[in-house]
Amino acid sequence: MEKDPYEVLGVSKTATQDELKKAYRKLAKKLHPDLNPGNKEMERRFKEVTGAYDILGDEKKRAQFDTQGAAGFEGMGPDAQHQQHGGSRGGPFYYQTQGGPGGGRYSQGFEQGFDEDLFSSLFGARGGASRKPAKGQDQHFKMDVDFRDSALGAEHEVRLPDGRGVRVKIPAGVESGAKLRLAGMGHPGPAGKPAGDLFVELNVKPSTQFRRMGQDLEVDLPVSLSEAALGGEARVATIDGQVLLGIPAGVTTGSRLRIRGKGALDRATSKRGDQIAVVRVMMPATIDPELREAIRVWSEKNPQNPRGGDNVA
Amino acid sequence: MSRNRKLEDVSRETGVAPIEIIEFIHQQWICPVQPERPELFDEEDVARTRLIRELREDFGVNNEGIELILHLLDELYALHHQIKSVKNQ
Repeated sequence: MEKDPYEVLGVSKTATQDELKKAYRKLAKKLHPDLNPGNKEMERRFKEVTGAYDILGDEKKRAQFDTQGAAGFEGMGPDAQHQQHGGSRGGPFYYQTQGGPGGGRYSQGFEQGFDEDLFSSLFGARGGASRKPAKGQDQHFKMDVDFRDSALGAEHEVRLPDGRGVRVKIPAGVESGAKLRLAGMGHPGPAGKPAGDLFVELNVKPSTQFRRMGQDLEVDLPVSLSEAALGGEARVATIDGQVLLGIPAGVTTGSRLRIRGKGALDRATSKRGDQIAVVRVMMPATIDPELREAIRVWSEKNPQNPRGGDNVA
Repeated sequence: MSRNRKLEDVSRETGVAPIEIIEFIHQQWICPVQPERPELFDEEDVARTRLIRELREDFGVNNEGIELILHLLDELYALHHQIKSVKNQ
């Protein structure tokens, strides 16, 4: 190696690591090839500086250099050292990717604006061309979705904050938090470039009645003592409206009665899940003497222990 | 001219963790040639990622500064390109 790394960085041999870092940063800022595109001399010096810092910035390597001198780093030209620098420079500098016949992908957005007003494009709205170079900015929007729409799918016209109306198709069976991407419906692109995308986040409003269990929907079904014992029929709300559900005799709290095909739509199979009515046996509000007597007589003849054998009181 | 890379490849080439590269995309500092999953990055994206890393780690630039620098650089390169094409006419 030709030059003393301390000399390259312009620091004394006794400089602290902190001073070294400062000196390196100061030089790197001035010499970085991306800030001086095409300036070969600057690039050569930048590589020299990073090479020097590669040694001195690492306390172990620095100690080795201090004791053995450049000998320990023989064969490491500026390029070799530079490549080692944090493993960071395995490829071209950014500016080197910008010199093609069409210019760089990221800088293209600017070129249209130059003729009009250079400074407005330089200091114009944040989120200008450089932030989303090849197309317009994406736009994000949140919308509430009715439980029923989330289960069966729907299409709604919504108004965006900027006043535009868009049709949003809610796929059947979506869950809260799902994001839809409407390609090309975001902010308009710079001249000649496509518009950004619109992302719509769906917030499914929970239902007071229905609970979503995969494609199935659960509801509670309160039944009277006599319906539980003798069976009967009950009107049950589904997302398609009311249906008449037969209650078999002998159901108990927790029994699950299945109403086929009234659940959420499964897009993969185009089949709908089921609705499950979960039975809750409701005791009468008051136990009158007549009922009390009837139960007493019945239970003396039919001892019953729902808690299993060992729990006999 | 350049083959496109996957996120892991860019991470390995630049020494920037995948999660940070994703963050760069969210910040809209880089915009992969294929922004949808699986993201694909070209040579420009990789060089730009490396530049952001250097700006942050070697130069101590904060996030606000990165945005401004990238903006000005893009503008600078666009100007260079414009000048070049004017000269060639």
